[in-house]
Amino acid sequence: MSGEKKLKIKLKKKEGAPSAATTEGNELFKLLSKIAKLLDGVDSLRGVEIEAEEIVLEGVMLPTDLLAGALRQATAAPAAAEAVAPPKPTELESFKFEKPVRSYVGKFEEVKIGATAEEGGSRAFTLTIGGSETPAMHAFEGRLPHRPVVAYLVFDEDPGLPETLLEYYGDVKDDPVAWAKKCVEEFGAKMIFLDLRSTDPHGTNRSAEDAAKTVKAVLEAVSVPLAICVRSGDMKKDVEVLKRAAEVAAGENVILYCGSLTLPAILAAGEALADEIYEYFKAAKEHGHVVVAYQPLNLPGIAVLNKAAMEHGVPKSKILIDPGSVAVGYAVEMAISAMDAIYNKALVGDESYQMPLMYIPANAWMYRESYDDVEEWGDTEQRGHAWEIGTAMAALMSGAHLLVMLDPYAIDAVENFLDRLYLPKIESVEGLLRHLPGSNCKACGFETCKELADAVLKGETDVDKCQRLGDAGKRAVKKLLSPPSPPVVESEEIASWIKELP
Amino acid sequence: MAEKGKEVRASPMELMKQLPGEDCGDCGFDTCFEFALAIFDRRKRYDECTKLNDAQRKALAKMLAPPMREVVLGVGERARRIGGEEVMTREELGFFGKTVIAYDVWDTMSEERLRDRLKEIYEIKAVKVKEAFSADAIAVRNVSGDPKKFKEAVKIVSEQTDVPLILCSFDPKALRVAVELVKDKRPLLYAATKDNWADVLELAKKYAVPVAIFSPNDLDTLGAIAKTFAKNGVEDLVLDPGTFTEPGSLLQTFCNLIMLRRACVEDGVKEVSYPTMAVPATITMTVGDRKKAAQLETMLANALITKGINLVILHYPNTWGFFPMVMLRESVFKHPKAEEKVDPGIYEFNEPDELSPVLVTTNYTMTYGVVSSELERVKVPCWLLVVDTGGLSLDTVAGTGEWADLLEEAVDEFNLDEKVKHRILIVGQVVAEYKEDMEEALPDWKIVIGPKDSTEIGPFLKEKWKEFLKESGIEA
Repeated sequence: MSGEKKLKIKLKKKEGAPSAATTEGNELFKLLSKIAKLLDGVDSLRGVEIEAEEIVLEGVMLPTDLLAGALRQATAAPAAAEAVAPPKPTELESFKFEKPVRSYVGKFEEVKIGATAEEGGSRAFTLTIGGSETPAMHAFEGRLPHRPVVAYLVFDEDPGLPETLLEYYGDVKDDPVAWAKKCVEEFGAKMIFLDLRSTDPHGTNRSAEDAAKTVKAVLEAVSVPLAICVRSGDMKKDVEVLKRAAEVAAGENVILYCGSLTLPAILAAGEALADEIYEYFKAAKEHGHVVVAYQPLNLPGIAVLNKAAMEHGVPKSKILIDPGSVAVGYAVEMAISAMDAIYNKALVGDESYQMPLMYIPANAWMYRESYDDVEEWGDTEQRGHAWEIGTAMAALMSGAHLLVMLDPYAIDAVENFLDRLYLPKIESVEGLLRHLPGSNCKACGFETCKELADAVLKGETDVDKCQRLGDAGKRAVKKLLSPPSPPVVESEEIASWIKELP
Repeated sequence: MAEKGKEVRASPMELMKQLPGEDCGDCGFDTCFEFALAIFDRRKRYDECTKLNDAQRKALAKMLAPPMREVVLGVGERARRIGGEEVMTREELGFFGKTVIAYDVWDTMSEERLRDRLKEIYEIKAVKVKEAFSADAIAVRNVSGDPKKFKEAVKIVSEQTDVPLILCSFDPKALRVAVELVKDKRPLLYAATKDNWADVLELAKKYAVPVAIFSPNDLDTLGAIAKTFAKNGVEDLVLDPGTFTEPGSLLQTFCNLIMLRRACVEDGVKEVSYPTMAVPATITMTVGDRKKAAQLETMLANALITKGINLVILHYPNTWGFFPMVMLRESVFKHPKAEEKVDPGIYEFNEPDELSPVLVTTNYTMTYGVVSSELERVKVPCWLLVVDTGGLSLDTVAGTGEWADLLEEAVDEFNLDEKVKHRILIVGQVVAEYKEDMEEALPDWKIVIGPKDSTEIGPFLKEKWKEFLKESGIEA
């Protein structure tokens, strides 16, 4: 454009009050599009002066932004950008997040472990697992009624514990009764998972009768719910051992775990299973125990066992599934997928898969990554803890309802995690201790963190005494001592994490 | 309002129509249709076809675009592509945007300390079967509140590393000076918030870099910021709904991440269809002990990785935690249909000689991995004959009736008779019922059925091997 033209536009407010801010915005737009038409063919807008009077704009974009936008649209000439700076949005687009909630027709069974005196057993309490109505962690769309349980694994003979674990169990490794007692009394175990490995015919080959004595002694020594496990690979011997164990534990509602159930190579409908499998179900049924459908990474096999158990009188509420408890680094993805698939089936109503899931992260200790001193693998002790914890996380996030673990340090970390998920009221010393630094720095005036925990629980002092916990840590402990209901999530907790990390 | 509706995936047949149809074999498949199947279930990327024209490339890109945007962090060999997810659970298709594991440094560190810490981060290593892993990215935190200091720290870090950087500050001024310095390295700006988004948007536009949006426990605002950015042409976004770790809050952290993913992959809510991230480092704020905090942080990262979160920022660099974390990540993000093969051949363990036992396994990665790690552990010298079963496990291949022939081929091909003096093969118990077949196929060899479980290999060899040799008339 050769000569510069000066345009003067006056925008006047319409007579009468505007009905809505947007109406006024629309009016403005209309007007501007008229201007745009007027400017058709104009390639530069230098010198444009706009005079706007008496315009009240509420809840709409600023007129300058609107004008700039409209003019840019209208002229579509690069030169226009020179004249008017690109619009800088000053308000966020509106957006409402709709929770992607699904409804599920199926849900997991609830399974109770243990029996109190009134129930015909001698346990101090019972534990209930399962009952999930949604996939793991989907609390926004349904109930996950029971906190997963972590059971302590106890062997009836030393399995060759690595250094890291000898630290905790060195004094009890040859005595399952003392071992179980230590787990309960010192570490606060809520359940013992007794592995009768000494009955392995390829190993010590102790008799079923001997094993039954151990079971009896452990039941007498501790009052928490119990699981009994055999996994020698020899189905005949394993079932023989479990049958005797089931008898001596009659009425205690223990879990009878057999890791050696072998199915026919081809799973044809109506195909008879090995006699031992039926004997196993029968023992559980007669003495009121829980069975486990264990078939590693084999969903059809799990369904076959579940159906067979129910057909042979084991109620659905007395069956668990072990999908194959592999460790991180050893095809854990296949176990995750198996659990995902079980959830997908269970929640759409497939009754062959609605039994709670158990997982044995303790298996991580079978692999050298968890215990071998290899310098380039990093600190052996911490790595061992991390390997079992990592395996537990994979299982937990995939919906496991019962974890069987070995390393007290790892269990403590997992329970800490569960506390953060479920916000229980903490009333025990070991429960509180896991949320204290554990460094025994004495700065609080107590000799150990444990003494401080004890004093806090008795109301004799306050967690503010702890010199190591920061504000967030103290707040976390207070939440656990006196849980707010419903739990509150305050965005301030982490709003300035960039600066607040130590 | 949310734009709803998940797009239906193109079928292999539809994809096939966009391929050259020449069956040239360059992609490694014999036919274009096999390649179509492979790009359909994402074992391959469509650009691995060398003969695509522009129109076909464009059409395929559109047909195969996953609901979740793919975002590239960094440049060059160390760049990481995150996002691109399509499903909630890996068994449905697979997870693809492998979790980027980042460690932090901060700008109140002295230069010396900063360099030490960087060294500490570089030294983290993990090795899985021949593949080596190290830290994927470095997050620089603006703790000082001073843009100048932030810039200095970013300068030192960027000179020392070629991994993607994450510039962490809520102060647009600090972000501006930092991004100006490393604008060619595609750093991730962390973060746009409800307070600073307009300025961060300007930066993202100007420098064309990806941006994380941080909106703790407020998915409406998170989506609103993302929508505003997308509307203004900034679409390389990463969503951080906040990593709450306090009791009663942690569950919400997972819920938010899961809801965002489902809204994206199942409901097609475009506004939130971006990769997600979390900061497990926040858990350290609630723990009064470094060692403990390091374990809890690793634990939380593992939980997030299992759920397929695309980026995590950690505070405690160490190999003991990184190793299992990477193993878990490689598992979770492994394609469910990925080929599970190792090279067939004869492998040596613990310096075997001509009288050492020969064990037999298949070239299925898992079987090989389990057996080989056990052999390393028990330290018994032996040979491992890895038979080419096309990557099938021993029990799978047993059912096909071909095992004996495959075994014979392997013994022959790898000249086993030249390696050892004896003629004894130890095979797994799952093929015990094919003993006769094996003996028929290998008349010169004695077939011994080994233990069922790999953990029994050690005792088995130690106890029985000499007997077997004796039976064969050989004195050890």
